[in-house]
Amino acid sequence: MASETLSYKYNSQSSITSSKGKENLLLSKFNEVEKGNSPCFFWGKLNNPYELSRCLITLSNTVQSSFNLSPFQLALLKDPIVTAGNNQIRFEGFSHCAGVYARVDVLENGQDGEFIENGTTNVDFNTPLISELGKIKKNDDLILSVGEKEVGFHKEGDSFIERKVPLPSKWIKGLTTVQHYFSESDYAQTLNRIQALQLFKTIPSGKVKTDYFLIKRGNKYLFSPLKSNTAVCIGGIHRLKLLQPLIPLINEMKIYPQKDMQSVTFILCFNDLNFVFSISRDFWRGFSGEGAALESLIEDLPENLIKAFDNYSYTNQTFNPTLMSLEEGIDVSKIDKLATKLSAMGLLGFDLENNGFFYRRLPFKLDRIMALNPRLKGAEKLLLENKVVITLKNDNDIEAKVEGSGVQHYVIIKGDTQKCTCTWFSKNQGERGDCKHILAVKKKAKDN
Amino acid sequence: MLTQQIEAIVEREEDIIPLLKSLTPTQKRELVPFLKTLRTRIFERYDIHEKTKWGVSYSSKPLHSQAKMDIVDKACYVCFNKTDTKKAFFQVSKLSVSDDYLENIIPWYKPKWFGDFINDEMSWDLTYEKLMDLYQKDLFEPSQALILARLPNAIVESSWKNNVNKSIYKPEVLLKHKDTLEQHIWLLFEEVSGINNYYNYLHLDNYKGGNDIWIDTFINLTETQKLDRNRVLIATLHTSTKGFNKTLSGWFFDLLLKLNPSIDEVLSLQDAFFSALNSPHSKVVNTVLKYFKVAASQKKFKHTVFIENASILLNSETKSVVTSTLMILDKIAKIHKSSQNEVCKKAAEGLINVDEKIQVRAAKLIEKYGKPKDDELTNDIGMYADNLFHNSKEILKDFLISKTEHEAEIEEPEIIEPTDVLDESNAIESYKTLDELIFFVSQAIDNNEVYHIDLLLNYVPKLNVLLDQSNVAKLEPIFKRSLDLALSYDWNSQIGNLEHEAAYYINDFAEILMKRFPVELASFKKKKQSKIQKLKEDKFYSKHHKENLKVIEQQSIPDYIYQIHHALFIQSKSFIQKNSTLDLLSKPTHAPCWIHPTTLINRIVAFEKQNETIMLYDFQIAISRLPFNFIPKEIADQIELISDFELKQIFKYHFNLTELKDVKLKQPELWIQSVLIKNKTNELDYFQNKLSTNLKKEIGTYTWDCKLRDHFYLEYDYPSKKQIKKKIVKKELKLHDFDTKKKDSDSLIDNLKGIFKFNKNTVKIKSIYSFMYFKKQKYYTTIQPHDDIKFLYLSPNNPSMLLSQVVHYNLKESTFWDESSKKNMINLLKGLYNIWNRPDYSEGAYLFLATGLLCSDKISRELAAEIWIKANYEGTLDNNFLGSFIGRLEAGEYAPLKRFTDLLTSNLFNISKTHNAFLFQLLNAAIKEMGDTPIRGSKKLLEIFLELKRSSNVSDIDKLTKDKLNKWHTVNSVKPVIKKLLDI
Repeated sequence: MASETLSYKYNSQSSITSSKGKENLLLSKFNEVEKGNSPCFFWGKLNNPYELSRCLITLSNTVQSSFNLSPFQLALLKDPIVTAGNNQIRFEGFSHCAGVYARVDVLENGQDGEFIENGTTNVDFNTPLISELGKIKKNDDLILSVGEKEVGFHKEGDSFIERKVPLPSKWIKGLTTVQHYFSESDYAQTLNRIQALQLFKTIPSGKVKTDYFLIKRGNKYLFSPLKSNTAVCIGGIHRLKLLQPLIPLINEMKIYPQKDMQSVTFILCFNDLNFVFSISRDFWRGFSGEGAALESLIEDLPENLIKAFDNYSYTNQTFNPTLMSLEEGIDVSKIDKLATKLSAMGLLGFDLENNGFFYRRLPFKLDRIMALNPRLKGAEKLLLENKVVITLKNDNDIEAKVEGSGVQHYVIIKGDTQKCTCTWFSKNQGERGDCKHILAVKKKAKDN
Repeated sequence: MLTQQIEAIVEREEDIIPLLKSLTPTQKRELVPFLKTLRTRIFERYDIHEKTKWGVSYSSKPLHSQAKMDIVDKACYVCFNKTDTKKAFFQVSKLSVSDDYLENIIPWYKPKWFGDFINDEMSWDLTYEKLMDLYQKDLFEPSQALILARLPNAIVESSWKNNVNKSIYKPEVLLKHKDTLEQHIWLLFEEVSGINNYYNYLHLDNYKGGNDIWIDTFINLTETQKLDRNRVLIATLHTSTKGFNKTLSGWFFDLLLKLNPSIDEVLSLQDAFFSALNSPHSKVVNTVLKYFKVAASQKKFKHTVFIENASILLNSETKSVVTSTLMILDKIAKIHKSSQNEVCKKAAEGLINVDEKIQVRAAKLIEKYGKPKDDELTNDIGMYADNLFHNSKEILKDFLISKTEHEAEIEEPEIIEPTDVLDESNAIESYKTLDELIFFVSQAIDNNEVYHIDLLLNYVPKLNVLLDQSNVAKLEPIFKRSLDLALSYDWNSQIGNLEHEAAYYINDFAEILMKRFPVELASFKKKKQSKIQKLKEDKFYSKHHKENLKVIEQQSIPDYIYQIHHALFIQSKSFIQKNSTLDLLSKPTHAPCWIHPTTLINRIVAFEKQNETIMLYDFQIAISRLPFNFIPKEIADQIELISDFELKQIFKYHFNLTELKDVKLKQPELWIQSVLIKNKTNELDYFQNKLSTNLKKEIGTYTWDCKLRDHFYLEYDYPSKKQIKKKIVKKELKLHDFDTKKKDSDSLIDNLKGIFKFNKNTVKIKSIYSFMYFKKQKYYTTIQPHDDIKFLYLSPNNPSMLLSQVVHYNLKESTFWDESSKKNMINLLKGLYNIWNRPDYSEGAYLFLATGLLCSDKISRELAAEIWIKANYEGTLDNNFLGSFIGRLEAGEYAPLKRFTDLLTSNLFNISKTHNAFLFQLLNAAIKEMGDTPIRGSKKLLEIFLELKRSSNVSDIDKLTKDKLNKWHTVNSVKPVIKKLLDI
């Protein structure tokens, strides 16, 4: 895995240029799996230039930040992803440690432009660009172009920008897991700007190792280190400081904790513009290592389904399985949790505000995504080596013996509860996804 | 034959260059395998073991001469390709740029990889000057990174003369090459470099500037017009957006300050200045604001853009940024009348600040320029109304009139989480089936819950009786994990020492089962033996592992306090051996540590029925875990089920069905917990007198004070070559009469008195408290984090003794020695929060809480504040008591008062009306106990006190507090506040 690299190849540098009193923001794009022909996805005016540019700076800060890695790894900057289509533009990215996810959603009325083609792509975010973004003012005219509009703007053979980075496997894994967590998150509360400001003033300084909890006292919200069963739990709270410069500009802030408090998502709402910010359970735990989506991946989806799905959907459109099965003539009703599965494969994103999946195919090869989960691979290896013996199986109960390192693990699956005697399960009690033993038993039971 | 020729040259140490020159590319390629072996041989080293007076020293020396090695190096350099070179040489670029190679090899052979390695390896031998020479000669093109790494060093030349390093300032280097000032120097503004920490520490013979040498260089270059000043200014300002760290950004803004742009320059470069406001570093923002303060009074200043950006500035964590922003807004309002309304609206955002001075400044700005009739403005201000200090309210009264509903009450909080003592929601699940027990035991060493060790002691004996040949192998994984843990020396931050102890206990269980089921557990046995065998062979662990394999009864414990759990483990093991399935009395029924009284009585009855002896510590822990003041209706009947008369009496006394003086105290150790928990002075006195015992330590009451104390230490003095005694003064909290070892000998009168008493001598009652000691090593605590909270829960109704120990060892000063002590503090405060349910805890608990509010760890302070808040909701805190402790600690300046006043404003103030009244009480009691001269920070404390007094008009200041304030009145800094407080 270490030797695998991803090369970002851009035709030109992203930049902001001023012409005729307008600021033109060109985002250079690159996708490993090119679909369609147009070099440009979107061209048009953005309505809240000041707020948007600050959001993009924060996104860039997020992408550049790392809460658990050494500075050397920091240098390998990853580029954010832009999805344009269905009258919306989304910019998303991860911190290096894959523990912080940020997405800027330009909503339907937040732009006034032309969606030339739908798609998802990596975009080049460079330092001069960020520096220029910092200069955007409230009344500036900001024109965005995702990819270059005019073909031939750069002649063939012109030098292009190429950056090789080790394959951002953590990113890709994180990007899929985070959508899964979104789908399991529920709305908790909305804070107005003042409440949010007060709340953010209670973030302790420095790197915080203890969990903090969001509590309400009177009409004030605050973070407190005291565990409370009803409160939203935030691990590695110092990561929220990334949001601090945006808070004075928001209209309101919405909070969505995941059902088992494995992640918390903050949505900062501006006019027709949302900044979605999600942090993992703890600063040393990236989304990438979480096994939430593992279960969804153990069953292979028929290839023709994925193909049909690719043909049918267009970017940012809400995912509707029923409609799809009607139009494409594939019976998808038999596949439970289809949406979850597709999101685990990097084919769908989740929109918390609308509480639904939307089509967004990650700009990475599908087999890369599938090859990334070590626990899943571990489970498959167990099956391949014939180390799983199911000792009891009836309607609701499965008992099995799985050979572990030197010992036989005991696995039981009873309805919704599943248990294993291995270290991973004993420590996490299923909160971080199934262990490879349980996954292997499940897969074997399904295959039989 | 070439190979022989080369060997001969090497052997005779002759010049190899002529031969190398004559080689064709093919010959070079063919020579590679030979050269590789030759190189290995010539570079071989041999080991030297020398006996010195300090022991054996190990070193190595090369087998061949340096000259031989150099010859081989040259041959390899000329013949090897890039990959081979990289493998063979440590830093080949060192050779590439050496004078020898540059003169003798490079002129006729320049390897293809020549420049690549120089750029990659960034050898220290390559100075900027040298690299530019090579570049000039077209030998290679330096990379940006290399230039950035070397340019900062360029202006100083260092050389060794007579063993002394001489450094000379040589800025003229920068003028030597055109590229330097045209291109290279600008890279410093674009990318991270070491320019900020260069040469501050060097002694330069020809430079006495005393400032940062590079800053001076830039100033000179701009003054002599070698660099364009405007371009330098813009580049400097733009560094703020390049993601540089705090020090590097700070350095560039030091440069800006030194360049000192004029007003005209500031105005013409406004855009660049504005973009610097996005910097995350306060120094950058502050510097920009410094110039804006001057520029703001100019018409050309883009005031609307500033107003736009003000929101972010007003919410800065740095006070000076907020203050400067308000000052600039003031100037803008003064000059641009049309912007006044906008300015006021922005200023209103400053009202969110909890710093009174800033709030008042914002309020004054609004008062000066705002229109009270402007609905939008009054609405905005209204939103901050419950956040306003009395003074701000006074200033803004015209703007707040119509908004009385905002002003009214601080909303009473909705969620109050009462301490669930025996609630459904915190009842601990009980496990019965084989599967449940197996999966529970499997996770018991993971510290998933604080009570898991307690449960483990009960569930292993129960699991034991359910095991048979068909299922015993299911325990293999946990046996293996326990064995690994017991034999491991790796640090695991998630568990404590008790989990290790649990692993020993499970190992014993495994041993018992291996005897019972030799066939079924044969594979585990084999694995265990092979692991032990491996350890035996290990150089380092061969001794240690034996200790860790001992049975639990023979295991050593890290400290006295672990004795209590140790005894419980042994008790539980005896249950396994007897196939008994009795619940230990101390097993909690409700999280985190409580026991339902009925359950406890049932357990005692079960013990009696099976004729099982009750273990004293188990009983004592159990009694302490009974929730205080919870008396089930049928308790009298239930007590009757107990056979033992004295036990019956104890429960009757515990649940207020009989008086202490009416019973016979045959076994005082069974009574001690109930007496301590009920904590009634008359009963405690009676108990102590009757039994000639002293329970001072068990109660956790010590005489203590906090003051400056002299400490002496020895320091080596070089001139006199002697150890000299030195003194330091520490502000220290000391519990007197703490040391248990120094027992006062009984006086004659005491002895005489004893004759007529129940017992002749003072009697020490055997109890868990006899072990509640821990000896602190000099620099670390022996209580491992995670164990601390389990110790606290051994006696949740009387935590004072343990907490006094913690205060004594960890909190002598308000800062922590080490991370573990800090973690102990956090864990114990969290634990205390969960069990705090009565106001009459004795001194130890209150002193601990007071130190919690003042200690250097912010999380601990916040936790202590949460305890205060919760306890005051529930009316379970004595604010006078706590306040007086804080006052006594601060009288000795235990901690900077600012820490406490910051906590007051951020966490304790304005929780609710009731809380404000309690807070008033707390401060009232604290000030009373403080010293006769106000310490630093007292003014802020008094301001808060005044704010509290104003917010609840009924609160009267105590007479003694008034006396103290009158004493302080003579000090100018606090005089005005005291005047207001005392209505003078």
